[in-house]
Amino acid sequence: MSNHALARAGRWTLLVASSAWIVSCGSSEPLDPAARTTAVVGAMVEADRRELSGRGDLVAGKYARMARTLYDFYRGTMPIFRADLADPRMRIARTEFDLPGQLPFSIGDAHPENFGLLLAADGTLALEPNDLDAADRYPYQLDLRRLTVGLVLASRGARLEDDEEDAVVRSCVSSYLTTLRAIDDGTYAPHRIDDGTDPILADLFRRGRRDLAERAELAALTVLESGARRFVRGAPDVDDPENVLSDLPPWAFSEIDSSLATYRSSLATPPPEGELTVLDAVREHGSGVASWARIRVLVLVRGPSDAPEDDVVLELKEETQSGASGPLPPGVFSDDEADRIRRATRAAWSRSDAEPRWGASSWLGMPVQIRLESEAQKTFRTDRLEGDRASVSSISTIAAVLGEMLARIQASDGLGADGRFASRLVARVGDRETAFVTGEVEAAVAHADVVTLDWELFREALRARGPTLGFVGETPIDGPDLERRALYGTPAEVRPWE
Amino acid sequence: MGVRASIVGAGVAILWFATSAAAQDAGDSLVETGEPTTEAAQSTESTDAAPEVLVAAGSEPSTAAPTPTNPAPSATTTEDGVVEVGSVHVSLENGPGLGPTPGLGTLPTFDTRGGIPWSVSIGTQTFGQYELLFPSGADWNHRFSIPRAWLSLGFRVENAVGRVLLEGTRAIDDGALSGIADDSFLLRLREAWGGYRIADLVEIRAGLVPTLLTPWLTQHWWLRGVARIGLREHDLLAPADLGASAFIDLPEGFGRVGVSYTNGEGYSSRELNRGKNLELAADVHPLAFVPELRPLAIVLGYTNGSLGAGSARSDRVVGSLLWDQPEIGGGVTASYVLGLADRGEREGGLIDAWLRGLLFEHLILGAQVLHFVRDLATGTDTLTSLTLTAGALVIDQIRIYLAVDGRFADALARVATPAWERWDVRLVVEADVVARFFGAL
Repeated sequence: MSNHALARAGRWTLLVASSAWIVSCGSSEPLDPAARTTAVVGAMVEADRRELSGRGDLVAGKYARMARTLYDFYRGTMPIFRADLADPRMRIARTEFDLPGQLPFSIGDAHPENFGLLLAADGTLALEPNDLDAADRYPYQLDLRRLTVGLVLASRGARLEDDEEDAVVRSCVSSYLTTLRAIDDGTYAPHRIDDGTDPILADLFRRGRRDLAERAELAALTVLESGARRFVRGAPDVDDPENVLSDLPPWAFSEIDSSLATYRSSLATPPPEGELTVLDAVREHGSGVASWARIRVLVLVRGPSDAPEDDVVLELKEETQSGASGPLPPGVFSDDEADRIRRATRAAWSRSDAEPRWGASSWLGMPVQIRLESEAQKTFRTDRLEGDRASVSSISTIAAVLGEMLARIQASDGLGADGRFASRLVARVGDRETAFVTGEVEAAVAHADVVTLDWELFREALRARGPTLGFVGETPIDGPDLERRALYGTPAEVRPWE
Repeated sequence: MGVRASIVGAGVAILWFATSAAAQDAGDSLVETGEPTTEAAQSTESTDAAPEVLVAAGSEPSTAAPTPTNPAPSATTTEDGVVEVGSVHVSLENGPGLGPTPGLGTLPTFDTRGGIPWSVSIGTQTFGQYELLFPSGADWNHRFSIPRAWLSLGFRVENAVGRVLLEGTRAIDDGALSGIADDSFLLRLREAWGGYRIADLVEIRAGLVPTLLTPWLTQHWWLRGVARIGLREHDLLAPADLGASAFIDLPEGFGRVGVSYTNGEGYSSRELNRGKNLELAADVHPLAFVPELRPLAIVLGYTNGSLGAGSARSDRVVGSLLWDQPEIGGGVTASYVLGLADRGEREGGLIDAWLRGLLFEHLILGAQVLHFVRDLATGTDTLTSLTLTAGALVIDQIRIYLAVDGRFADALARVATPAWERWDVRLVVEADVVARFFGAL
């Protein structure tokens, strides 16, 4: 038997053993590794099928990124999470406190790394949800559990003990419920989240303010040549060679002006037209995780003056449908993707101008989201939970903050929700708060175990099936045309993930 | 029958231009033999027997007007409702002939005088619907929709057969916002196959073919305009797929048996795994030798398949006991399900019970109950639905239904499938027509 075969056998032994460990926690039945692999692969390929058909190399990059770390895997697995939520055999799909027929507004993927700093119109930074790709209307437990499972994984990354990760989730869910009670009885005062004494928030804001003062994105992404600024080409950061900037096809570049004109009209306070004069634009590869395969373009615009110091970088990102399955008639709650994004920002943030340059448009016929690209807008990163930021008290504090934010978002009237979610859930829970919180803790911890197993199975599937999980990609007949191929571009070589 | 005559007349007018040259030679007109001439009339031997029995053959002579410069050929109508225009014959059939898949195999019988018999059929089937929705725990809503819009073109030339079936569908799924040209209705291929009949008993098809079991069960149910059969409602079997199929029309009206071998992903997806679906199906009338008991039918099916890139098991074992005659029908279908979507190890069970009747030649009554246990191991996670309908067969080609549906879930399923529970009231208008042109080359 070769070493490779031995290694594979060893890995599978580990998987079987770990699946036995899952028995008592993740689901009511043992998770058979082979069957679970089928579910994991099936859900991912089904969700990515459109992109796999035309840009398999980009999806391969996404899968490699997901294979690298457990949390990155979690970021990319919303399709599996949704499938598990629809499977009552999974602990994550069960609750005593369901609200039939109620679909409050939510951001659709509320894991902790989808929160971060946004730069408001008054130049201040505040913590807000910063990824609205999937914002729509969902059962409340989808995002509550997406958040709490993410917190468990973050806690494990910070090497907290079992009882400590329970405490983190408990802090989040208690804060969530307390906020809903306050909203219900009218005592909740909406407020922006800014830094306090918590080490995690303090670190986030400190770095954000530093980069805001330095306009760090200009230094990182652009160069000055003969008094004019333009993007660098290649990898701006030598430590991240997969993140590269490259030329846009001229025909695609020429369409950015009209896209920005539409984008401008989507903003609550549109800037003067001259501020959006395009100076340069580049295709960006290698950013994000779940949206790794989507088209991203960085656009350098003139800003308030001709001086290169106040040039502004915008990110234009391809948007797709939210993935909400439309169980309630009429099934959709906005006119189009741009309308969904625009209305979601108004509902999700603590103030409508939390990021005044966040808008929507279309470009080359596809819906796009356009927002400020600023190094100041730091995202909460679980891999920075170290030192004093890795204590149970510190993580519990950020967990409570995120729980409060999620409650505020779901209690809103975003996308036509009736705004009565808070009173409904408060009434449903009644005086059984302990049961509610305990149930959420159990579900989150159990599902974090499932995600951990899934990650191993996913990696094994990549080894066995190849970088696109065995999906046969485009053929010369039905592959993308040359123009689309040029727009997709060629990503940098993906680093081996093991 | 005035409407039927008008439609036939319009078809005749079209044919008149297309075939005017041939029509000049009245001496070449084919001669009726007195044999049954429409597929409907032959339905006792065809695979689509039950629905077509409901179709009253026969129409009145065409009233298409000739012009002075191009006098119309004489159009005559036989007792069987076949209109002869020159060398081409036209018959009009209603929807079940189009059905889930019409039996193209049977050619009208007539004297070909040694020529090669041919037949071309053009059909459409449309369900227009108004729904009043009362979701559990949420506000009511209402909407118009078209659950089905089909256009078909089928042919037979001697023993070669084929069909292309287009269906209208939304560009995207529910819940999505943008697709092709916003969220337009699009035409897509539902079927596209060619085939060959051997000894008028065996038919072999290849291409995008209809599967066997679900179309056969749907034909027995007959009220597709009101509700889908359970296997389709819960998306447990695809009605068409890429691959090949073969079936045998058993003699003396004993039914049919068949086999199909397909990708397994249905007609809306490319193949996603190496596995293929093998389907075995039988739809038999075991007591066909006793005319009074011929409506008794047994449908059995087995599918061994896989689904999705993960090759999730997708096996089905189906058994159905039915009584199928135009005036009254009823049946119970039990299905064992191994594999639900990408959960290949999951075992489920589905019961589909239905009853229908046609009273006073025009009043349609029907009821369907579906009970789906999505997890047999625990006996939980169940979805139950009930449909009651009353309708009218206005003319052969138009039916109108009023339907009430209730959908219920147990505690586990209610959480997993939010907003599934609701009551609906629906008004459905079903329009079916197939025009068949036939002659000899």
